[in-house]
Amino acid sequence: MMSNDNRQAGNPDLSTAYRTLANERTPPALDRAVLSLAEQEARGPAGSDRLKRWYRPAVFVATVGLSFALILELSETSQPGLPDSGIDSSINGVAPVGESPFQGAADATAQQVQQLEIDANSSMSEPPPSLNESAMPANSSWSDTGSLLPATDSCSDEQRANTASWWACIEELEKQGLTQAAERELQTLLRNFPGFSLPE
Amino acid sequence: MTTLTTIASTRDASLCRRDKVAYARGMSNQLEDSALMLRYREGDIAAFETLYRRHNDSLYRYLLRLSANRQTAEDVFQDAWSKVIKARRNYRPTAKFSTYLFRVAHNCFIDYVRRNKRHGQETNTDPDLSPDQGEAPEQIVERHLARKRLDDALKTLPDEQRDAFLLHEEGGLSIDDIGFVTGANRETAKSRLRYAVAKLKSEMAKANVTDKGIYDE
Repeated sequence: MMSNDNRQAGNPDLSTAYRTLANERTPPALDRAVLSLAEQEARGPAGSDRLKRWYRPAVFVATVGLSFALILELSETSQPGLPDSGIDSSINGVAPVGESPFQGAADATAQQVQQLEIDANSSMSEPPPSLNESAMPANSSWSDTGSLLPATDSCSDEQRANTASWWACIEELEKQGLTQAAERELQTLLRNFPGFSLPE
Repeated sequence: MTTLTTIASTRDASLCRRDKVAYARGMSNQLEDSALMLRYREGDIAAFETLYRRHNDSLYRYLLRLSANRQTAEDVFQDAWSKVIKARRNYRPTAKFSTYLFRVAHNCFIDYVRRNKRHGQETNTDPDLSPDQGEAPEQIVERHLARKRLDDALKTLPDEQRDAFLLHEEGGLSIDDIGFVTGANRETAKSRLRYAVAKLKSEMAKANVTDKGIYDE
């Protein structure tokens, strides 16, 4: 509805004259271009519209998911699971006691290394009498390494399970004249059981 | 009197100049145009064609006389419809469609002028000289001359006044709507339209158009 202002601002006669003269029509080519575009937009990109509709949410979800996965990965990596210092100290055998949960393993490894060194030295200097050289392969490296001494030269793991059996084994070695082996076992026993006191 | 509502929060990012769309209420064919636009939004091509046929010629003439250049008018015309088509999903039926359409076209034209600084240096409206059915050659010439006088008179108007006049005549827009489309307040739009009408009448009188019986008052 036109207000008074609208009616007064315009001019009916001028409007009539204008509409009589200004009667151009849109060029048909322009009509075709616009209608073609409208049809194309309405039909053609329906699929892409659907894609566009899901594109942003999908990107958002993917970003959040990847970020969450990255945060989880970083948090797991930063947990004190296997610190570098623990690994190094277990190799060197110098880590302070109680520094890491692997301290016991590190100590055991160091003891095994010392044990093997002692065994090697003893086997080189004093071959065990029970060792039957004829039974060994010609170029066997067993005696060289000293890592696989016969069971009679040392105590078994079962014997080392407690101080009583370990001490009995040591006494047995002494009885057999394997004093160095007995001494070696005793030192190992004292290291593993510092509170052990020799029986009278 | 129509009242402009507050700026609506339409997501018309694809519109020229990315202006917000304000809405005018109470126009006669608002519902029909809006319904057609909504149907087109759902993929009804025929609805868009109907809507297009309602407004294409008036929009084209508006741009043709606003730009005074046929090529510019065609470019802006296509651009404006393209914006409307692409923004169909964001169209809200509370708007009077013709106001919305002419605002888009107006903004597209301003953008075009800014992009093409040379606009306005040459005019080429090339009036259509094809005869109407049963029109005598003398009448064709007379019509051509009358239209040329009209175009010349329009060119004498300042851009804002010409814009206001064309929006009123071609778009059928009220003063409030003209103010909204051009970004002016109501009083400014009203005075522009008044000055435009007065000056056009004066120019046409000078050209003796009234002698031909066209502008008799």
